[in-house]
Amino acid sequence: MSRRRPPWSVLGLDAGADAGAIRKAYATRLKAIDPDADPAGFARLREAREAALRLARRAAKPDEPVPEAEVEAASVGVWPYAAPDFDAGAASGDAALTVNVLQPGTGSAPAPAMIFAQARSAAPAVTPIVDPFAAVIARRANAAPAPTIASYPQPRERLHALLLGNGEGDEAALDEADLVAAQDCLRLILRDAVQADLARHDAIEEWVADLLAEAWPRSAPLLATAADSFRWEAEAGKLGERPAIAFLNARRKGYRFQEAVLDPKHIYHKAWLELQRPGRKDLLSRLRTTRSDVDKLLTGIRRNFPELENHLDPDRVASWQAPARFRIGLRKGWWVFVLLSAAVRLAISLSQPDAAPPAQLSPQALLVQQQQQGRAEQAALAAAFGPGHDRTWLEQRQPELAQVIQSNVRLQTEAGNPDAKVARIASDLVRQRLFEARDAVKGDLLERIMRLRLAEMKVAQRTGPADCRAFVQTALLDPGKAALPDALRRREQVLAVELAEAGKLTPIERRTPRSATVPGRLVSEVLDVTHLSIERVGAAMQHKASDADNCAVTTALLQATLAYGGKEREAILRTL
Amino acid sequence: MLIGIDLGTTNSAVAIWRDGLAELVPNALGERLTPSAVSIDRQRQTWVGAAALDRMANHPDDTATSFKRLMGTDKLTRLGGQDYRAEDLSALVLMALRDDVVRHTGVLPTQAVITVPAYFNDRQRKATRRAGQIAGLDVRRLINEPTAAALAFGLQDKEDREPFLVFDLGGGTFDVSVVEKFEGIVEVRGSAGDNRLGGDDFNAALAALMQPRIDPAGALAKLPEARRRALLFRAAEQSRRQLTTVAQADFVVTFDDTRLEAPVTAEDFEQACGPIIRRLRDPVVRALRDCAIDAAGLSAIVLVGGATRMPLVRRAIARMFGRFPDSSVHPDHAVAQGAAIQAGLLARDNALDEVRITDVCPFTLGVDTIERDAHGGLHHGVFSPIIERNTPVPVSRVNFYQTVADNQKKLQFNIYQGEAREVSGNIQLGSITIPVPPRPAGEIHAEVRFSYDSSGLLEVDVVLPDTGVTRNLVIVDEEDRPDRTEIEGRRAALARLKFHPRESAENVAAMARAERCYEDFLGEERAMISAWIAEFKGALESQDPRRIADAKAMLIGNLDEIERIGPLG
Repeated sequence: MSRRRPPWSVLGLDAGADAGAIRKAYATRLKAIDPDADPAGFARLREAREAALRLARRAAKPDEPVPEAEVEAASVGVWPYAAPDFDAGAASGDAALTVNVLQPGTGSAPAPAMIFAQARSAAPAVTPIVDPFAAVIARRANAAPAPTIASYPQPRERLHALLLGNGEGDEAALDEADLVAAQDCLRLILRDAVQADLARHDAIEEWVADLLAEAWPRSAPLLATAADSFRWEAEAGKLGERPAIAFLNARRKGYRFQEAVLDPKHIYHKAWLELQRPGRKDLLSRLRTTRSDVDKLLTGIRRNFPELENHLDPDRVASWQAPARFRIGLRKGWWVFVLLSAAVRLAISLSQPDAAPPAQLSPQALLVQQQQQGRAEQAALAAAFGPGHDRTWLEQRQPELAQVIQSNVRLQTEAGNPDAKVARIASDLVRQRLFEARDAVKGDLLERIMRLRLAEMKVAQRTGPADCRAFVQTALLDPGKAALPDALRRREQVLAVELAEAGKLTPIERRTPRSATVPGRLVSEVLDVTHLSIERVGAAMQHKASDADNCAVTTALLQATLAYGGKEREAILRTL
Repeated sequence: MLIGIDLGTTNSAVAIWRDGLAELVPNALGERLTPSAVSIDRQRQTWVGAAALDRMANHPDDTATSFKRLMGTDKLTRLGGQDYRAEDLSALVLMALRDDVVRHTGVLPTQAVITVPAYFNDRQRKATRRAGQIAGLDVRRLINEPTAAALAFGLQDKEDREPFLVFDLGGGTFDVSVVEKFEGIVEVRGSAGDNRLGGDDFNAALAALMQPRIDPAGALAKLPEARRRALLFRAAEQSRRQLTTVAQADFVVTFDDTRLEAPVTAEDFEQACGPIIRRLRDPVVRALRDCAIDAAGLSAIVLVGGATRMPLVRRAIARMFGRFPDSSVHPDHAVAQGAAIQAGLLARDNALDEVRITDVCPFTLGVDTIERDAHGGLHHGVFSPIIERNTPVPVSRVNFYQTVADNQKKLQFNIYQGEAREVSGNIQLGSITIPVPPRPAGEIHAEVRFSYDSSGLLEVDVVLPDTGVTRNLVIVDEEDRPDRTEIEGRRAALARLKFHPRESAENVAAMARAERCYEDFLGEERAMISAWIAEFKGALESQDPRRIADAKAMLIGNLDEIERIGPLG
């Protein structure tokens, strides 16, 4: 970073040159450069010129202060400029203007004036302190001031005295007479300002703004008049807003908001009224307004018009803002849980009747029952495996199956079902096991199982598609609908015995669905036999078609596969 | 050939630099000022200038005035069943001015210097440039109106001056500039203004004052709004002009068969315009404050713009400054003359010694930021200025910003132009985003540099010193890119309009004026005017140039007579 060159060297002058020489040097140098191409150089040149001119000015007049365009904020009560008196005709406007200004209603809008006067007269008797913010704001009626104004020899001193007369701490509102006097003074001052030149106008504006801001809130009734005359609202929110004017603009905004929110149609009207009620939040509060409205209102007020919060009841605000308290302590919660669950358990146990103890049979009845069971079992086993096979035989080969059949028999006889039904149930069970065994066997046994299945499938198919489906899925045949021909039954029995001998009638935990690819030859055979379309056949092969289709296709495929000699045969058979 | 154009709200003018002088070019009617008015009817017949202004009373739906106020917006004006943007209408005026130059010099100008109010924002300036392009003119430079007037002021004056103030109150805009001239340098120290304050507002105030007085029964309210506004406006304009010289004038509105009138005094007018006069003060104070110059230290107050002729305004100025303003420049011509001088400088005419103009940036430029308030909450949309207003351009300024949240992924800077503390009150020019590495809040700093050059081009550079990542953005209006098709399209649309041949311009203007007078008068006068119109039409149909010229002269004479006398009774 290069050291900043002193202005004289940048301009190429000797120290102590006068303004004319400085300007000349700047001009020459400026014409030599192109500012757009070298903005930094231009900035340096400019700065050097400003600095040099400042130095030159100070050197020329060492005693006088540097003239400032910015008017200093007036100290309170003292007119900063030795301005001629009002009476001495400083305002040299024509007579027409003078007449106009003195007429009522010039330039002053009826504003949130008379706040304090109303407060005084309408204040609730309870409050000992006259709080200017306690009352609801009321619009002042358009009371025009008297046509003749007593001329004030020193309007500014008078106004100052009225507003700040009793020292800084006087916050009492102006009473009627004082207010009228203050407004007249202000009007005279404003008229003076309107007719003054720029410097004087500026000075008056600053003085009025500072006075009003300092005498706040006592000066509130005068705000609107002054603000309209000086157009302070145009400066609101701008970067160069002067502090006193910013303060007054914010207060004015607060008034406007206050008036707006009293309109029942305002969205925060209900929240506003609610927050003004004394005391903490009560049950009805929830009905009046919502928490979110209250929050938004408070955020807005706190951010923009903090003084309006004085109008709200602090207890109520605090109670609305407190976080919801539903946190039960951990220990308490635990004990509550324990007690509750114990109570629940107790209730359940009390409501359940005790399991009745089994009824005792007399020994004779018991014997009869046993005999009955034995007979039934015999019949069942004969139905399943053919005559000559009893429980002992089965127990030796498939003990688990024997157990199952026995318990089934017992249940059925106890329930009082006839032997025939018991036998049927047993044979169904065995058949199921028989078909399930196709996963475990191969070769000739598999062949015979599948041929048997095919035959039985055809039987089932004859009764109907639903039965066929039931058979395919569960291997159950409804005797009421289709009785197995004896030949088939015999075959079944023989096969069951063989499988029992081989110990293959074990239950399968879960039959995983098998899939196999069907060669085109078989598919075309199926198509020929069933006379269905290829789409339906395809769907049926996935068991997605209608029952009839599924049945027909399965049967045809099984038949075709049994006649088929290819290598997929076994895989396909196992899926069917 | 380079021409200088003053494209004003109410009146426009064109000037050229020739033989060491800035010379205003007369239009087809021999006037040096052309009203900024356009009228297009359903058959696409177009009138520009005084004729269009005269048509305002009879065909308010087909006529547009003061469209400079719509520049930079997307508002459309419907004329003759078609929609036009403000740029199109301005382009029509520019084309008429260009034709005037061709007539006057025999050379077709291809380049121009156009003036804009100093307080015109970015969008408005770009719209003006586009209007020039649509009119077939290459806009070499846009120059601020007060600066142009300053150029024209004391050009012959070789002495150095203390800073002077240019007070430019035109038809629709108000500009104040504090200018210093020395050693061939014209240096603008500060500018301020109000884009919504001009002679039109005085008319509106007078109309608002007089409407209840002339029409207590409310007959005017029954008229369609455009017509009512046009009638009141014209009545206000006429009364206002009269009040410039006399103490009492008549405010007259004539429509259909009714005639409403009432007297108005200068005092009434002054009182009605009180709020407007007050508004004149703000830009002056702002400009002086920004330059740190005392009003007493000004060497002259230069008045520019037709509205400064009003005694009301002159009195206010005299009050403000405690002295009388300077009247060595012609308020209506100064801006056009200044534009011609700038054109001559650009063309490097040898009669002009080198004059350098340095200007200022009239608006504050900055970005939006987030502030923490006293409660610890975040306040979004706070405007952080980077280039303060009235800094000399070209200028380059830097400001530093940091992240506000942990692990922030990017920093987005929205660029704004304006004076409000909240960005919602400012105009957004563009946006630039830079990715940041994840870090706790406040650890990443970004350096944002704004570079604003004298043609009004803003360039933004964002650098993260920690990572060395940079981003750059040049604020270019999307429509400003050489989008040939768009401009060609607008030009083609305007080329479909039918214009009167130049030779018949005077006849056209005379006819328009006669028709307006027909509306203005009633009873006997109206019958007379009707007869004159019929005669003139007959002469036109004969196509005999001598006869037409005679008939026109007679018509103009009659109209002058009747307008001077004023309505009888």
